[in-house]
Amino acid sequence: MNNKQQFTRFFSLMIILLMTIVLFGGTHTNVIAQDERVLVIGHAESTDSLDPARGYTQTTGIVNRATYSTLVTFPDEDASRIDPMLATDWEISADGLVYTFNLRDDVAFTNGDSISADDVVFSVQRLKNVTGNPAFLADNIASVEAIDDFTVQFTLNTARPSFLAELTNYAFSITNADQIRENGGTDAEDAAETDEAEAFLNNNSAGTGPYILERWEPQVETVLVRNPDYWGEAPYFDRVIIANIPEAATQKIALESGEIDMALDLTGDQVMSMANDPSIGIFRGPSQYTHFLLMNQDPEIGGVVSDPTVQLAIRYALDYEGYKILWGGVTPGSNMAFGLAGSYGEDQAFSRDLDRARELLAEAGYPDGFEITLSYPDFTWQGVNMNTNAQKIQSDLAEVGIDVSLNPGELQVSLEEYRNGQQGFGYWFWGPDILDPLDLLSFLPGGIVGDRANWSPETADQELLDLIAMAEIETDSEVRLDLFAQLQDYLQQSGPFAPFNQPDVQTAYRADIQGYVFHPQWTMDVSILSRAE
Amino acid sequence: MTSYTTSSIQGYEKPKRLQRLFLELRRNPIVIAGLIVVLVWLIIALLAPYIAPFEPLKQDLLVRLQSPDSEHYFGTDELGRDIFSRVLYGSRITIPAAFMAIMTASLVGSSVGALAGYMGGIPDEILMRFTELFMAFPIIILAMAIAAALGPSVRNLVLTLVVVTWPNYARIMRGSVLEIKNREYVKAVRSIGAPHWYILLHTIIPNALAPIIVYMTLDIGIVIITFAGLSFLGLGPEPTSPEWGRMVSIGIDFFDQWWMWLFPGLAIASLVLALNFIGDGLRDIIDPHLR
Amino acid sequence: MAFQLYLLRRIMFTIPLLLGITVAAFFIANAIPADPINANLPQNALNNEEMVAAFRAKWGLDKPLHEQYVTYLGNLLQGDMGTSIKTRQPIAEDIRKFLPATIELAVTAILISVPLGIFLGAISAIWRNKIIDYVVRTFALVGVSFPVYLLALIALSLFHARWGLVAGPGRIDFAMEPPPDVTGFFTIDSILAGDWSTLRNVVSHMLLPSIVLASYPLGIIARVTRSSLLEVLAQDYMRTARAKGLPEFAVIFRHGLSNALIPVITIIGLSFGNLLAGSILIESIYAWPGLGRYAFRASTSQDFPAIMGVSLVIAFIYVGVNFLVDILYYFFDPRIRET
Repeated sequence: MNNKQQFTRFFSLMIILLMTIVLFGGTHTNVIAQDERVLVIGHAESTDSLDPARGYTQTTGIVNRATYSTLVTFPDEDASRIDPMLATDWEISADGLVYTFNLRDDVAFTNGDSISADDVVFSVQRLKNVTGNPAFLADNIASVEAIDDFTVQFTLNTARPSFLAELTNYAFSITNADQIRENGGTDAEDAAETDEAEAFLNNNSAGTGPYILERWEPQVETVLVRNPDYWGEAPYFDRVIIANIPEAATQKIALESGEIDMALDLTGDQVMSMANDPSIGIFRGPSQYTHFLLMNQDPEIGGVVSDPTVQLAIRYALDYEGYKILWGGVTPGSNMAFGLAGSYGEDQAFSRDLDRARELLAEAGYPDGFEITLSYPDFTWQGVNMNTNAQKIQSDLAEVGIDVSLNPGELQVSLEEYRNGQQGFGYWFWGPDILDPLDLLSFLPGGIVGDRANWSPETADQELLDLIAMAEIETDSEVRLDLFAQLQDYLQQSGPFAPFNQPDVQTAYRADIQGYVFHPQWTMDVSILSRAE
Repeated sequence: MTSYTTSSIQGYEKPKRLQRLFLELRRNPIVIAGLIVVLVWLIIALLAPYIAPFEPLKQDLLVRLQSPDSEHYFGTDELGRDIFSRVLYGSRITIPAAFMAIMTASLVGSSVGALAGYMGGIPDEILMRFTELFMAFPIIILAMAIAAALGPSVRNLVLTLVVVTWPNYARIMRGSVLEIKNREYVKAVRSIGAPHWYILLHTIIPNALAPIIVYMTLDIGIVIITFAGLSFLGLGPEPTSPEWGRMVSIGIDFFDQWWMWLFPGLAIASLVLALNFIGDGLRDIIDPHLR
Repeated sequence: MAFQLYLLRRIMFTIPLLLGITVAAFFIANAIPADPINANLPQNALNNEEMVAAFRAKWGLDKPLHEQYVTYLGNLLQGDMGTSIKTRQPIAEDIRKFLPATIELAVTAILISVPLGIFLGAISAIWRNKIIDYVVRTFALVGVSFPVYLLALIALSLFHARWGLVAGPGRIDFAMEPPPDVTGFFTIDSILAGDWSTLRNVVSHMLLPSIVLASYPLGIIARVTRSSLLEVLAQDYMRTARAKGLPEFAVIFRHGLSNALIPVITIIGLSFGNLLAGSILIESIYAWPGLGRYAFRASTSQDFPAIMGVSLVIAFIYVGVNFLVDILYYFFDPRIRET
């Protein structure tokens, strides 16, 4: 039949078309230069800015760790001590208010200018005056002055034992004052309005780090190239590409097929499913994030859970071991992130005791439990799906008769309630801004999370307030340990929080990548990585 | 072209509507298959509590992420819940929600579209610009706004779906009405002085229904799929709910544990395909031009 | 009606629509009960009232709503869509960067789905209720039967990871330099640069996402073609054409398909808007830096100016495409000319 013939012809045409498409396809890696050592990192980019005075996200940390240096730093793998970086040594005045740093005199910025005390002054004042996202870190700095070319002096408003730990933050990156001024930057009082260097710093780095920012294409990729004149040990890779891959499932496929060398945002289960793959290496260890329940102290908002006895009952009712099955990690001994100096480990943590929980509930007048709504954001952070935990919490509390209904909110909506102290019963996580025991004060009356639970200094025990006041300024490490132990003891028995898990953080990489460690401050340092040859 | 000829011969015989329906159905095995699948799902939805071997919400971390075996036919999920039971229970959420959304959307949409198409002129322009306002607005932003303002739940999901789907019905209905109202037989009815409402309800709409029904049967699948898409973006129903789309979207993060996404995915696909085939068959039967 | 008059009328009625969209976008963006300060300031900065006030003043969030709208509209008329709170880039520039990626996908998807959809639909209609009809219909429905992100991931893991037939996520290999930016369309830019290996790579990256994206309109187009062709085949003029002794194929293609195309055109117009906005799921899986993802990110961070900018651009394109569809109507359907 005529039409059938014509159809056959049409069909053949379609098949030829398909063949062309297939020919066009085919995987071929076309690397820029064959002899270049390239590292490709798959990551769900969160960058808000790469300007050290403005950026405050996980990705900013990774990039700025590579492109800038700070005065002092932590060791590669943890926050156990303060090491020199651009500063060779420092002195602290007896009252803890004045810090004097001596700088290295052999360091040059990537454009050849050598660094001096003026660059430090400029960087710190700019951080303070631009009032960008990380500006709060500089709140306690009263002044910063250059004593001579290589000596710089900070004066604080109040003594602050965590000051050196704060200086390790990438927000305190030392930037090239002249270069930034040339590109519209300023550290003047009115820098918030007059500084125009952000666009420049989003596409160029003005630092002394092992890498130079070649370009940042938001939501696509960030490209770093090796700084040939780096003052420290030269890094292995010539070029580092941080490719934005938002979906964890896609990161895993890209890693397995070798397009990326590392995947930073996989879940624990995804990583463990590759444990037996010889071409993949995995890193797994506790993160600095504590997941906790918030029980509002204000009876108007918290209702039943504002009762201290109920709060304790809930701490006894949670299945701590179960959360470890889900996410690995550790059960924190308190709201002080495990890993900070003096934080309680698992041996001092709560363990589940359903009978005790039921007793306490009966004591509080709720022998048959009660109904309550748990609010939390519908969010996944570092592979931990908060929805999964919320369902587990619901099922845990059901065992002692507490009937929880779940109210996941859009992240921003939920954050708003939480930050305004309007959430009665909430589930959140917290990562310390400063890797110092002082961070625990955030959870106490007068602290930022304490406020959100309406746990105010007006209603808190005097005994606790005295402890807080001492902990805030104590610099002697022995005394500090004791004070923070007392605070942690207090939080276990009373208080509106139930920390239940500090999940593992995990990274998977091609087996030939060497030297990877996770860091709680800057996530990862690309300059210490290399490839087996 | 044989089927075409037989059905046109039947047009002359003018058998009773129901009889004709059955006659056509007998000749159309795929419609029967579709009907059986939908019927099975309806029965499952009704009887889920009696046939599910496990509580759909019962967690057991000790058996989490187990592959299918003789105890857990479809394996278990990340919290150790039985996926087979959850898939069965899922039908009780997805089916009524999708039907609700589609019925409401088509009713609202077709009314607006029919009015616009029939009246023409300024009212047409106003109604259609209003419709376009909804259509032109990006679905994602609209859905996020609704979810953020009202909170995620099945009811709000249905509302979101109605808001984003009704304009399609308006467009399609208007398109058909525009085309039909100039046909000879409509002109004929008009020329004998029939009132507008009569022309619209008895002459135009019955003839314009076919594309709407075709679209509804396809759209009900799209609604189920969109449900799943919104779940993926975190705008789905309550987290414990064994809604299929939510199960698949969680399963994406467990791609190696294929049972987590495959079974709820197949549940969705079987229902959507079945509805589509029924739709095609029904359309062939209802459409007066095909007889 | 004369074509010019028809055209003028369409254009005139488009203006209030666009204005309506700005109002809708503005109020929807503001109806989300969340404060952008939460999304855009770090936790510790929120207690600093000075910083919060500075942030509000900077983005005009401290002014009453109607005043904000009037300012916005004024700026818009001068071609200024504002600055994104999140990316701190001018929104027009952001969109110029993200839109081409999405358009490239959407256009390719249309190029794949329209001919294939019409072709499959026609086969289905001609061999109605034969085995081939069932096979074709089932095939056409795959894209609308499975959640698209599941299809996308399965396709990625099979065609890319397992069989290595096509390139994986991203618009181009991660280690490869993108073509010099002229239009923002990687295909066009690499042709302009005469860089064929880049073009091959870019096309290879486009294949999977655009085929998966096409699977959705494909099902709909095939479906609509089938039903409208069936309807047309039963019309009197078709019988007349057959009676005249024209060959069956000519009858179907010359008389049938051209008359059956009206609803198909409608669907294509409707689908295009969906493709732009709905590509977000595919963009997420394929790490495709397009407008859908930009829109999603804008909504999750309460980036009002960006939400409005994206809504406007998508709406504008949608209006444009459907304007074209209306014009096609004019030519395809002679009856409209009579009214």
